[in-house]
Amino acid sequence: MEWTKDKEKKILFKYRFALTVKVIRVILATLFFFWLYMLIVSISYDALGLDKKHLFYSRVAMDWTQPNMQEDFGSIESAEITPFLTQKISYPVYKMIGKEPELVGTKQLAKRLVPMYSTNQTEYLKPKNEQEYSFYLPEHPKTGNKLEANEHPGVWTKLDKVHEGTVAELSFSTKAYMTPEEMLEFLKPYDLDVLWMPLYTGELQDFEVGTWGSSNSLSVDPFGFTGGRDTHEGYMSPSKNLLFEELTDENKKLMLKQMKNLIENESASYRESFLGLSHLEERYDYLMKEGFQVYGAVVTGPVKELLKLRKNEQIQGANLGDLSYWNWSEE
Amino acid sequence: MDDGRRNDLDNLYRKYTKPLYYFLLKLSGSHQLAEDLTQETFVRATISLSFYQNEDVRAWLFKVARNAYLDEWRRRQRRKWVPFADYLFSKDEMASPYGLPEDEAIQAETSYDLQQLMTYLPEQYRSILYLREVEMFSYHEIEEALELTESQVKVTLHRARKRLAQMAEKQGWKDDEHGMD
Repeated sequence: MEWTKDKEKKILFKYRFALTVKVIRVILATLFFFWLYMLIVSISYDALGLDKKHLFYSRVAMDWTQPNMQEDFGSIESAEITPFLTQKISYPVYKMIGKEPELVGTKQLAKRLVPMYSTNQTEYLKPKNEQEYSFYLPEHPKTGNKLEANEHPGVWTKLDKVHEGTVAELSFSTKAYMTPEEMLEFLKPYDLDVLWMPLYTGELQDFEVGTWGSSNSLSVDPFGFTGGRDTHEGYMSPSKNLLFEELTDENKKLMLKQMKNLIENESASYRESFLGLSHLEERYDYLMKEGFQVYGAVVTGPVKELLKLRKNEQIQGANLGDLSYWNWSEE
Repeated sequence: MDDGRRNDLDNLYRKYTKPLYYFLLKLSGSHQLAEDLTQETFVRATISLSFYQNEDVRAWLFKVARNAYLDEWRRRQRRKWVPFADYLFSKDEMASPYGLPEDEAIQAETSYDLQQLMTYLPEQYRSILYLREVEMFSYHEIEEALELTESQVKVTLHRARKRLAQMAEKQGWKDDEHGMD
């Protein structure tokens, strides 16, 4: 057969057409396999319920390290897994102002294959007040010297000036360590809800932590006691107690149980990088040895009821949190 | 791929369309298949451009063409095991890489043409003779195109010529009539 220019054109046209078809086929095949991969990964992720464990422990960690911060029961949480198997979980977080929860932001968790690079952040709706939760140790853990707190007199003035139909959140420290039971008894005369208590877990005595304060005051990153959490059926049925007097023993046991679970079953990078829980083993050992000692509280209630705390000699370093319209009801 | 590079590639392919077509025609024995394999050669060459390592372009394109031919042969061999494959796929005849049986060459009354006689040779002999005698490839280019060492090129070329000469002799040809090297 003779060679012609048309034959050359035909071959080159067929080559361009075949190349285009091949490229399209590769793209379609890649998209299909990606879709198939994501389908398998997402179905397996949902079936295994891996997000449930991370959700549970992130809430446990939030209970201990972020005063008066919790998820609302039944709130919508979102969990997804990326092509690189990073689990992204988010859920709204609230704080109690009076008797009603108020949305303050969103918890954003990213659990990566390498726990070191996992992140756990809270995105707040409005800028966070640095002094909102400052707790002051009543005495120096190393020397035993009595310490004081940085006072903010404006707190009481604000509570005095606002209308009595307002509820607020207040945090304060005490001049001496107390047991959680003593703290609840101490606050019993006031019509307030106790939400959280800073717990002394051996800081500066059994392990070193960052501190701040002045010559006669000392603060550490708070680690707190609140209503305990438990879970059944492989994290499928989580439950949370309130910080009630009659539940104090159970709350202590639940706190120790979850600390032990985390120490025994999870890696240090999971606890520290992902959950933000430092020195958990030392804290657990201290609590087992010395028991629970708190040195302050976060409370909420009507402003005039909170104002009564001003006269209490045991209270120091009070800080005012958020205020809200009246939503209080006597129990 | 930028426009300049695409144009370079188009010019390169335009330059080699004809030699590659005839090379593949020689290997496959079918015009239609030679056309398809030429375009397949260009597709493969474009896809594997990133693997191209400053070899001789001509030798490299012939190597790609030869591999396209061998792959097509293997694909056809596999299809033989597929039920009703004859109804589904092209029925174009294709010359075997192993060559036709020599007995057929001896008995064939129409084997007067040297080129036709070459179809009775195994693919490697056919390729090396074609590249050397028709395309005037240097030994070095043949080394690259057929992925052989220099000594293998010399030995294979010698054997291919000897085999062709033997077959021609059996056909009753004389060397001076057909100008065999």
